[in-house]
Amino acid sequence: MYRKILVSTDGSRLSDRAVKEATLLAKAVDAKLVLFHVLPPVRQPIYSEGSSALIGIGSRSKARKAAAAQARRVLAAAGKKAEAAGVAATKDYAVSASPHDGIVAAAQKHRCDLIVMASHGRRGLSRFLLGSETQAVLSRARVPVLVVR
Amino acid sequence: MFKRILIPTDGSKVAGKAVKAGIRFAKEIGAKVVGYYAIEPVPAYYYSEGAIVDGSLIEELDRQAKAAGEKYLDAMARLARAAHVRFESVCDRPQTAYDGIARTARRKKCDAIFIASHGRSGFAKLVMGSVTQKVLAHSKIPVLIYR
Repeated sequence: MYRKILVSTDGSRLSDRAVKEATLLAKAVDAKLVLFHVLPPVRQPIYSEGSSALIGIGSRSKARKAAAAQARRVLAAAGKKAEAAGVAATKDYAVSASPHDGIVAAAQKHRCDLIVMASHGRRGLSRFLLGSETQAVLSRARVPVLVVR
Repeated sequence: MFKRILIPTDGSKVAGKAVKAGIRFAKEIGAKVVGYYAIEPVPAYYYSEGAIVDGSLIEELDRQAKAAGEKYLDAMARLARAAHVRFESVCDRPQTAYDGIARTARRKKCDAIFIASHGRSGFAKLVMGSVTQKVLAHSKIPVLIYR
């Protein structure tokens, strides 16, 4: 029924739960996993007033590299969980100012038939409300979404 | 994986699709299905001043609402039986559909909810149904939004 499951993670505790559930599910239905992380775009402080003296040329690419390294770290941690469960997983990340667009696009790109995500991300504070990104994914996704909390 | 999946229905076409998918899903992971239907209360205006109704009409409306729910749950039971999925159903009259879903999930110890993105009153592709929205906001267990 579900053959390829996209799980989005931002490295938060709640998204760890999503990875865990997605792994269990993938194992149960013999599906493949796509571990996915969205990076915010690197801002351009070098153009702002007063920053030119402090930030050298090349700091943007440095910042970008650091962000990519962070993405790989988050994905590697998730990948370990999948591997431990014996589930085939691919890793991917994208740079996007709006995580929900990144997630929906990635699900299409990888032809996933299910998206698993946490009800909140890093910014979630209330257990009674739904995270804004989750909400946005829910309204845009073409495939079913499993919301883990 | 999930052991007991709650699948609410309101009898709408969208919910019907979710029911089918939910039963397939339950079959694949070897889970039991709890079907749920919330009986709608008789609209308040039947009780309002000047409404030309008598008690028997209200009873009749109520009976029909209940019969509709049982019909949908029977259909679900047949699908489950055909798929060899263990099934039980709950049909009650909660304050609101959301309350009923949450309470039934708790009472029947369900560990996941499989629900359509919209129900009967769904009108737009972009928005989520109000009941689904509330279920999502308050649920303590994973919720699969089917579309």
